[in-house]
Amino acid sequence: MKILKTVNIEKVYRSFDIETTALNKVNLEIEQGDFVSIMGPSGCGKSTLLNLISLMDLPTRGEVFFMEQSTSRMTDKKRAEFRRKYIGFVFQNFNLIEELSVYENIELPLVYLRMPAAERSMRVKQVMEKLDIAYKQHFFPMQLSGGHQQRVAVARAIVASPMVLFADEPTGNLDSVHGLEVMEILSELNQNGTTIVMVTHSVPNSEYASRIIKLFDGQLVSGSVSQYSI
Amino acid sequence: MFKSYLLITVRNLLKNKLFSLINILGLALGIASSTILFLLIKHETSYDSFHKQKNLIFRVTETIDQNGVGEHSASVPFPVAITLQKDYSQWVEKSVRLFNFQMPSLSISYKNKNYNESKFFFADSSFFEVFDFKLIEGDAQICLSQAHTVVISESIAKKYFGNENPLGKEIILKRQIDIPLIVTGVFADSQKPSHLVFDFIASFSTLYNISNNDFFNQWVWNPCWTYVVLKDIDFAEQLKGQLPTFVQKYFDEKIKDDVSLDLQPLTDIHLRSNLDYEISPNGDIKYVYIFILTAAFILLIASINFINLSNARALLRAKEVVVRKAIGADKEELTKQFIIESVLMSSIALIFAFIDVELAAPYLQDLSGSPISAYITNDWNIIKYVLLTGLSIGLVAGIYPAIYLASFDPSKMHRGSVLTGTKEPIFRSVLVVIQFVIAILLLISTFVSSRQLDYLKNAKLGFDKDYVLVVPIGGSPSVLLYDEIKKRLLHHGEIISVTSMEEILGSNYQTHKFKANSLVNNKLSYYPSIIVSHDFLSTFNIELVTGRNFIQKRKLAEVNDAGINMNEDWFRYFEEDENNAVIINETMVNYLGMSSPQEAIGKEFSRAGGTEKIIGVVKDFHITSLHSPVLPFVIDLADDKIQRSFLKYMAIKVDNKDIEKAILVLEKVWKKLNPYQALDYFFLEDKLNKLYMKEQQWSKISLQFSLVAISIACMGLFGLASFIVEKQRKDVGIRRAIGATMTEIVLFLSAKLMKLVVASILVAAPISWILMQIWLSSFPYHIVMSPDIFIYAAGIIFIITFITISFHTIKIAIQTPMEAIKSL
Ligand SMILES: Nc1ncnc2c1ncn2[C@@H]1O[C@H](COP(=O)(O)OP(=O)(O)O)[C@@H](O)[C@H]1O
Ligand SMILES: [Mg+2]
Repeated sequence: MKILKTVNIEKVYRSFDIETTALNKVNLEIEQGDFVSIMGPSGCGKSTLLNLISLMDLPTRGEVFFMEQSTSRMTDKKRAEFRRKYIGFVFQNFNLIEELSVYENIELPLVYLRMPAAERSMRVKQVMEKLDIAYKQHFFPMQLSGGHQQRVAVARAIVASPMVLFADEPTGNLDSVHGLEVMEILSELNQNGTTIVMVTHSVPNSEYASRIIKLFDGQLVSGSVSQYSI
Repeated sequence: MFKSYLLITVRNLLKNKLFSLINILGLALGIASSTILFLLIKHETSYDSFHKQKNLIFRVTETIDQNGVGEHSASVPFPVAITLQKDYSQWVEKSVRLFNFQMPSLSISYKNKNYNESKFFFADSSFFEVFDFKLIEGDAQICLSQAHTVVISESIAKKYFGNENPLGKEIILKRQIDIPLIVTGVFADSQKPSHLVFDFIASFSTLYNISNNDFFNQWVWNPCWTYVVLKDIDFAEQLKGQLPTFVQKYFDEKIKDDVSLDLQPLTDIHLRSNLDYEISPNGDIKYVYIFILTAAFILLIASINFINLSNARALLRAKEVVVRKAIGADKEELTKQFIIESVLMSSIALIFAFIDVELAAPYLQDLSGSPISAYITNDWNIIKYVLLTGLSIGLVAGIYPAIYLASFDPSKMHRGSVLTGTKEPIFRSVLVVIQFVIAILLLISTFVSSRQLDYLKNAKLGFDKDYVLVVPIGGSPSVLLYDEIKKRLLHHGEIISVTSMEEILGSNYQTHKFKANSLVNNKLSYYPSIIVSHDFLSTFNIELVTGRNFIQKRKLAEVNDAGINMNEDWFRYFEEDENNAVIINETMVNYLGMSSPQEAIGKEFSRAGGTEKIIGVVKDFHITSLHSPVLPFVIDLADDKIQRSFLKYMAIKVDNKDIEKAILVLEKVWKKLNPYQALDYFFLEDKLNKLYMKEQQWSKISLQFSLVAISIACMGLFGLASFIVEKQRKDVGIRRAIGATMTEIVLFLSAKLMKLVVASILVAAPISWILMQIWLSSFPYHIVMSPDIFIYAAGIIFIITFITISFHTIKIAIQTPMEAIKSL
């Protein structure tokens, strides 16, 4: 199944009187089970692209199809439901909620899924074990190192077992050892069937991917279509 | 330099248009509202303060207390004024009496026009020397010096004579005989508040011409409102000390041991006097205190609001502060800038407030429902008050955010942390809670006062007030026609029953002397009473507990025929109920120390030298407004001679399906039998509702000001909400990214603010309960505070505040997750 497809998406940022075209007519298809790495120089529009295909933002023009449904025609409620049910997102700078503990941060997506408390607690424990952060569960984000924060961010993104996991430079703020750990986790998830779309700078990281998309100055340079589908 | 501050200020105000607007409007609304309350307070407290001798003028009042019954009268017997002046001439400079036959209105005619005038008084010629009412025509010195002269108001002159010169015109006061009066002066329609409200002042000496001297020399009947002017204020105490001796020396043997006189300062009359036979309805000091409290509350809310909003607005400009500091602006300069901004804003608010007050002024009403005089609204003190409060609020409101923001450290600021880094001060939340506590307090007071008003108006009075037309007949020849009018009226099906009475039932009563055969009080005493004619109980549907109603002798035969048991004793006793019978109420039974109503039947309860006995006991009913408890009470049937002239009102029970027709019948019958008298009538219910004018006005005022309070408080919340929501923006983005819907976000954001509202409700509930309990306990009959009042108030506040903050929460919730995360 084509889990994702974009048709001529464009994103124009307007701040004050300056318009920036961050993305320009990008066409892209992603198959279920893909491990996609988006690459390109800084400022070329990688994050922007990731945000659009993960339903975190709306394109200025063009269409994003998620699971073969047009997302621009969806209500906001429906989009929120898609994010909740099918999408996990790891932010570049973690974006944990400062007022909530590690445990509560990880639990939050399940709360929005209206999962019963007992099941929530089981799931949160499972992920925390997997990422080896259970012993930090009562800490607050400010009290954690960058590596731990990133693991909490990953835990939060995968706790609801999303169909697709998006990650914006998941290792960008980590040293190489911790970076490697995160890549191993993503790779394992992919082997278990999760589609992964990742933005990265690093060539070694991109080697975990089954497919590389190259962006330059807001335009797709290569990798628009999955090798499998050709 | 100042110019550059000004320029920056204007630019800032324009940049945050919405904020500036609600900030300015909130303060303007607060100042305008408290100013309006200030006007009301000023109005209520300035009664009679325009008289030059206001501190030297005292009213003589009389208390008659006979074993707990009697009266507290605002008026005294005829000779008191002259005798005081004569006996204590070392202290008393002048005196003046006012007299109106104790009639609700008097009939006046000019040529072929007839009017009933309620503001007609006879007064001694010193009237215009004692009081400073301005004459616009005639000479104050001599206008009342002759018998048969009258001074009238400007508007009466217009009404009677149009554009003709009123001086020298002759009007006729219609009593049993015609009394001609020549107009010798015209006074300006009063602008200044006074407890004396009058349209006609006729010379007192006229009375001497039409009655014999005995009438004016008796020391029992007390119909004269009497004022003395002292030579020095210190003499008041000395004169008071002499009053008991004075009473003993002059008052009638039969009552002098029960009478005491007192002096009441003129300027106390409006707010602190609540006697029987007041010359006009008075105000109440209680409401002045309530106004002061409300004004203080509103001002407090408005100041808090201004401070909160200035603060929130300033914080949104935190970045600018950081930049300005980074480029070297020093602390003092920033502080100055903020204070100037704040004062400038409050000045703009002042202009709005002035406009507000100017627009509202013509519609302002005092507690009696009459407009507040221009004399008050043009007071320079008010303008000073407004200026002072406005500017000081501006100053205070500017200082706090100025200091707070000026202390920001630029080195700690980086992108995104300007807002998230600053802790939201508890102080601000406390201010918001205070605002809401006040708003809820006012809202609850609105509920309670309107319910109490409802209760007062709809309480079971013990008699039917519905569909009863009341026609004043006293003090004019009409009273002589009463029997004939009644007979004719009863020919028509629309008229159910007709009676007449001494005072308006449910509004007022008189006291008359009776002698009871009881251990408690067996001497001749003044008892609250009402003189009535036949069919009184049936017209008002007053319930007899025991005994019987008055029966008309000439109808006795019909009663016989109707087969009523004539063996009962009392029918034989009282062949003529007019002279031999009274009916009392249950409270009187208790007062007389009897164990049951049955025991009272047949007991003596007689007028001086009379033979009246008790023939019936009625269930207690409210003879006056519910401001006073039920008193021991006597209903006495008027005899055909003197007493019938006491009957001042005819009461007509009409068919509720044919009210208009009934009124037409009344007009027709009246015109036919009494063509030279104007017909006045009103519905009893309307008249009785007016007894609660103060409560009604307060209820209205309370509603208006609680709306003001709520809107100002909401403006404050609006400001705080924008700040709190702004701070949460990034978290909102994250939650949205995780899958929260807009609704979930709105609820999540609202919860934080609604906590403050809930806290306010919890604080306000006990406070308002206590305050309302105090207010209610000033009524002998009042509602019970019920929890649903709190639930309604809480619900209303909750919904209004939720809507207020939705403006901000929704604005943020509709952003895409990334927009929320990335902004600022
Ligand atoms: N919120 C925004 N407002 C204005 N311009 C933006 C915004 N986000 C990104 N941009 C601009 O869009 C372009 C692409 O940004 P981004 O997608 O973050 O690049 P990358 O992730 O490849 O470094 C850049 O020029 C960036 O400055
Ligand atoms: Mg990026």
